[in-house]
Amino acid sequence: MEYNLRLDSFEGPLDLLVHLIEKNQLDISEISLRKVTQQYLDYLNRMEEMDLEIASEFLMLAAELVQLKTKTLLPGAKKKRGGPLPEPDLVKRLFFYRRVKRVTELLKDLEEKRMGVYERNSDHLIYFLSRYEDQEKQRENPLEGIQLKQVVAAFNRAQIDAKARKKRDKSREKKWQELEGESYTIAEKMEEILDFCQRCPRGFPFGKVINNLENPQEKVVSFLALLELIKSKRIKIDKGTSVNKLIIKGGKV
Amino acid sequence: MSSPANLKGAVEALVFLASEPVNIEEIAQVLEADQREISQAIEELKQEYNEDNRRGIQLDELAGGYLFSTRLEFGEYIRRLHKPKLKQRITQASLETLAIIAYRQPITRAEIEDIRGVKAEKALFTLVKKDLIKEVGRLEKTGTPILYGTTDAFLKHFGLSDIEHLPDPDGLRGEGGPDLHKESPGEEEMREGGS
Repeated sequence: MEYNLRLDSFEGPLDLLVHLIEKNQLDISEISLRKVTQQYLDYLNRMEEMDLEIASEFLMLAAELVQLKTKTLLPGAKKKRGGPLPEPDLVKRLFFYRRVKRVTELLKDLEEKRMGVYERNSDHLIYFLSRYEDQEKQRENPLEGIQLKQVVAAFNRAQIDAKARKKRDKSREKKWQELEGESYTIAEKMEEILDFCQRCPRGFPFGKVINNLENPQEKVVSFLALLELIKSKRIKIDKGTSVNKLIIKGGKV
Repeated sequence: MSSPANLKGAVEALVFLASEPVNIEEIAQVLEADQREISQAIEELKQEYNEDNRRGIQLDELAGGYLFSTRLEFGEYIRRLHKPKLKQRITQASLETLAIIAYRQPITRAEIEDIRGVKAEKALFTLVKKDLIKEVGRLEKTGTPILYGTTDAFLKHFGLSDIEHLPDPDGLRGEGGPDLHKESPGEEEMREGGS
C-alpha cells in the first residue's frame, strides 16, 4: 500500500502505529497489528535511507511487533492455553494512546478558542500602580525641615557651578578645536589696537584687547602687539579708577 | 474603610482592572462584604455582560476567579489595533504530555512515558517552565518520583473555570488507566478490548 509520511508529524512509535492502523481502516486489534507490522518496518527503513537517526523507542516497538507476529506463527501457541489468547499489552496501550490523542485535540480546540480572546495585560496594572505610588509620594512634603534661604543658597551655588562647568567645557572644547596655523601677526594686531585707540579717544580698558579673544594664540599675539606699541610709545597706559583696570590711550609721539 | 454602597460597581471595578483572575474571597475581603453578596454581584455582572451580545467584553470564570476579556468575534480588530503580544501556542509534543497530565493527574513521568511511548523529560521541563504544570507531590514508591498536576495558568490558558470543566467525552479522567504493568490484566483488559 502506498503511503507518504512526514517524519516530524509523529509524536512517537505509538503515534505512527495508530496512524498506520487508521490509514488501513482497521480497528485496533492484534490482527491489525500484524497487518501493519510490515508497513511499520518499511517506515523505519525509510528513516534509515533518509539518514535519520531512529529513536530507540521506534526500534523497541518494532521488536515488539515482530515478536507478536512470530508468536502467532509458532504452532501450538493457542492449543496450550485453550481458548483465545489475551489481547497483548500493546493493543491496550494503543487504545489508551488513541484516547489521549483525542483529548489532546480537544485541548487544542480550547486553546484555539482562547487564543482570540484578550485579557487585560498586566502592564496596565503596573502603570496604574506606579501612578498611584507617585501620588502617594506627592503627598509627602519633600521640603520638610528645609529653610528658604538654604534653597536660595543651593540655587546660587548651582549657578556658580554651572558657570564653572561651562567654562571648563569651553576650554576643553578649545583644546580639541583649534588647530589653525599662524594666522595672526603682531603687525596686524598693532594696527587693530591703534584703530581702537582712534575710535575711543578717551581710552579703553586693557582687558578689552584680550578678553573677547578665544584663540590663545591670538591673545598672545595681541599682547605682544600691545607691548610693542608701548615700547615704541605709540600708545600709553593709564592707571584707571581701580588697580587692576588699566586704560589704554592712543599716545602722541 | 467600610464596604461601598454600590457593591456591584466596586466588584466590577476590581475585576475590570485585574490581569489575573480574582476570586470571590479576595473581593469580599477587600470590600469587607459577605462572599454571598459578592457572588450575587458577580452573577448579575455575568448576566449583564455575557447575555448581552452587543457587548465587546465578557466576564469569564477562569481558574476559580473572574476576569474580563474581549469577545472572540472582535479578536481580529484587536490584533489590528493593539498588536498584542502574540499568545504562544503549546507545541504538539508538549500538548500531548499536557493532555495526559490534565486528564490523569497526579501522574509521574514514568507513567506519562508509558502512555506516550517516548521520553517526556523535555516536554515536562517546558511545561513546568511555562507554569502550566507543577509538582504536586511525591509518589510513595521506590525513588519517590515526582507527581505532576496542572496549574491555574493551565486553566487560564485553556479558558477553564476549573479542572472539572475539562471536556471529557471519553471518560478519561478518574478511570483506571491502561494498567500497563498490571500482573493480572483481567477486568481491565476486557473493558479496553470491548471498547
